[in-house]
Amino acid sequence: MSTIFVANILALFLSLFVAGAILGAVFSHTRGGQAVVAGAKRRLRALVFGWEFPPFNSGGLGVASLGLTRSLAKQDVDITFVLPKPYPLSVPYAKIVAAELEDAGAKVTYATAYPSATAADGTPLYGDDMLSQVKRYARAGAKIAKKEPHDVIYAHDWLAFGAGKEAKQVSRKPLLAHVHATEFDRSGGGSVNQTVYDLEREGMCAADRIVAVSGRTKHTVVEHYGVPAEKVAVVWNGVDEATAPLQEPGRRTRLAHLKSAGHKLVLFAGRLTLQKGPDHFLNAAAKVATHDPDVLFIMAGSGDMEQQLLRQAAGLGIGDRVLFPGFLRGHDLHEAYASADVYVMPSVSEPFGISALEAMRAGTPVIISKQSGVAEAVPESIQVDFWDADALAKAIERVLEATPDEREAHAARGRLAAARLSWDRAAGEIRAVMDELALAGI
Amino acid sequence: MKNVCIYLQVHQPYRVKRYGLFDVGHDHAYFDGNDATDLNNRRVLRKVGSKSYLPGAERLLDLLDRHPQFRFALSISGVALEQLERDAPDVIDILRLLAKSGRVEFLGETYYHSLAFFYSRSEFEQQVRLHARAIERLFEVSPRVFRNTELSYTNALGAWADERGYLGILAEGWDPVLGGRSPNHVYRPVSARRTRLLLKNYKLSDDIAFRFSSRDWSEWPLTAEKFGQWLSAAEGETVNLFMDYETFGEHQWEDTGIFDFLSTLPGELLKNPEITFMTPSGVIASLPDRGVIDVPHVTTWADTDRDLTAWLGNEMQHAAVGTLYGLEARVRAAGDAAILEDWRRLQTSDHFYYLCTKWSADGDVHAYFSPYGSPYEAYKTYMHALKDLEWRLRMHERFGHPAPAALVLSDNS
Repeated sequence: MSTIFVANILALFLSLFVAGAILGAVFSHTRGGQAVVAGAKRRLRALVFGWEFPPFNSGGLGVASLGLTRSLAKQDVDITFVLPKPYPLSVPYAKIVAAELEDAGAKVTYATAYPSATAADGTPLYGDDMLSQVKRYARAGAKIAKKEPHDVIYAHDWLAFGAGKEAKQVSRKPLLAHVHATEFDRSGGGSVNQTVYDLEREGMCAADRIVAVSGRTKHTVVEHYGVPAEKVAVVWNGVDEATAPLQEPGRRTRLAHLKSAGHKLVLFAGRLTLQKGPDHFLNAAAKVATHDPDVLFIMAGSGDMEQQLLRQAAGLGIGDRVLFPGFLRGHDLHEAYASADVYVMPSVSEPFGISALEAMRAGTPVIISKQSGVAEAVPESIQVDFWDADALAKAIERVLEATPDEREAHAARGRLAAARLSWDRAAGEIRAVMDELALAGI
Repeated sequence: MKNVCIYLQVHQPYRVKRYGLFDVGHDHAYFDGNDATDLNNRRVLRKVGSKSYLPGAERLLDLLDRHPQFRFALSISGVALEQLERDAPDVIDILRLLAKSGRVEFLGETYYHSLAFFYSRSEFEQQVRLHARAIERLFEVSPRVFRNTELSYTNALGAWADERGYLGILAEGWDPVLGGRSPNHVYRPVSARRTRLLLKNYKLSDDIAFRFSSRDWSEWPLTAEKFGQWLSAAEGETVNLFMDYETFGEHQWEDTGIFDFLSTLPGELLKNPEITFMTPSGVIASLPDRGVIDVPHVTTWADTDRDLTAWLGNEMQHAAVGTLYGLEARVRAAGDAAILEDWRRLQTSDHFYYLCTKWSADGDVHAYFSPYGSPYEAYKTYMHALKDLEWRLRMHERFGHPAPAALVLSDNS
């Protein structure tokens, strides 16, 4: 009885599926090359090349990959998201594909998207290993383009530009390149790696359109890579519950104990590397600490400057006031945002700075450097020059000394901005760029 | 006649377990690591107990039985005694048998194997008293000769020992303070009336403690016979062999032959009728002093620098030790026995040694003695624990004791 029932259901589904497939084929055939009616979006198949994806990420690139993929899926984009290696990862809104299967040969460990910046001894920013991985990933792009049907190719950052370019050569579909950061940001004012720069530039040239995460980044792309301005669209990054879940209301965080003891918490969260300005944070911290014995500074993150920073904090006489919890992710990170009295992002050169939005979403006041892309998106935020430790210290003190009413108003403004800057908004803007590409019939 | 004066140091710190930001305000049991690493203090103690303390004590007891002239000294930190009582009571039993022989002298030191002398004289004095009481309780003797943590010494410490009526004090026989003189005599601290100074013969001590198993050493393998010849040939009136007890079985493993060396050395030395074994008190009672030793700056027995830089050489070490002793007044004001005890356990010098970043030949020694991945890991761990201690003080100061129930309950949320 029940087996017959199941068989019937299966047959029903099968016939629906076949009918759907036929209809879809006819539909796409008749619509091929024709103008898309405004407002009525057709389904678009995007072949996306990324490098990392949460929880297997080391920074903002992975966060943006998740936020954009999830929201693009809501915009009728069918996404095949390619990663260089297999991860135990499955999401309902995209098909995750590995460029290299585990059994394809010797086990390869892939570099993080954020290699440690060069140390004083002049060791290179990018090891040969990373560049060879990027090249191997690029070669895999062609193979994947043959296997995965798509209407548009979409590559995230230089690590994946090569793969996108190779895919385009096979399928002749338009390539959209998303610039999350450039070599000029990563080097933080130091020397730019020529090989990486070349790979970035080749990707930008091969792309039919470019999305930059901020006007600041667009400026870099145009000025330093010689890309025509009209080829570059600015789409600010976003934040939402999927990438920055809020704490359950009323839940005591583990860091609440510090505040019960009278501590105020000033948070830094980012890679401990030149680009993020952690040394400037410490210089400001030393100034604040002398005025207020209750302030604690939390430097969350890991990176090539960690040892130097531990010594710097100790040498500044604030060894007992700066805590280094290491790289925080998921719940720990969001708890840190929610518990902090102020979040500081003193980046030397920040293409965007998603973490600022994450902190704002948690209702935490933020102080960001003028040298960050997010400053354009939240002009109402407190902004200082990264190098101005006095101004940063004063800004921190001002936030810490705010009255409860001022704090609530500040928090509300932040939450509002975070709501405005959703991933859905970003995905809508990217979908529009994709439509233009499809329209152009490239 | 020539005296051979052996002193062995027994010490095990309470290492701080893996401890991070989210533990602060929640977990106050810094020393109860129970994983399979060397941050598990009970595990370490059982390991060193079976490799070194127990077999070493058995051989020392046997030597006392076989050679009526055999004598030596032990210094056992209070934190080591506590841990032995808890995790290796059989070692305590043998140590008590050694004490009963009347031929083993127990030296005085700080209970917590700390650097308190250099930071808080009153805390230092309390720790010395606590240690003396522990030695009296377990071994029914009172320390009459003092040695400070890591053999650290200055004129000020010599003056202190003299004031307190100690017969003697131990220090490193470091060439710059000897100024061409031999370490193999009894000396006098600057301005001391009664207290005498015994200096370590670091050359002969380190032949056993550091070089014994080194195959790169031209004298390898070291036999009791060869070492006996060196001692016979040594100048002076007393050869002071000061080293870690753990040299036997832990720093030098059993398969290097270190225990056989220990067992045969006294018999070999006593073949020479000119040689006799003495405890530090015995040496001081039987030999005249040969002048004053002036040590204006601190000497220790560590590293090639022989100073405090192994513990206080970089910013992190100064931050850690400065923060720790900066809490003293608040710790005393809190009047909480648990806080005082944890503050004191955090004073043990090993915590600062783990933060050392001198990466020369000394760095190898530091890495050997550190259970942490790096000095930076050790620093972060220590500072988080110290922050928790400070948190407990804050709670005392704000709310009195005990902390409000709401705060305690939310620990498990």
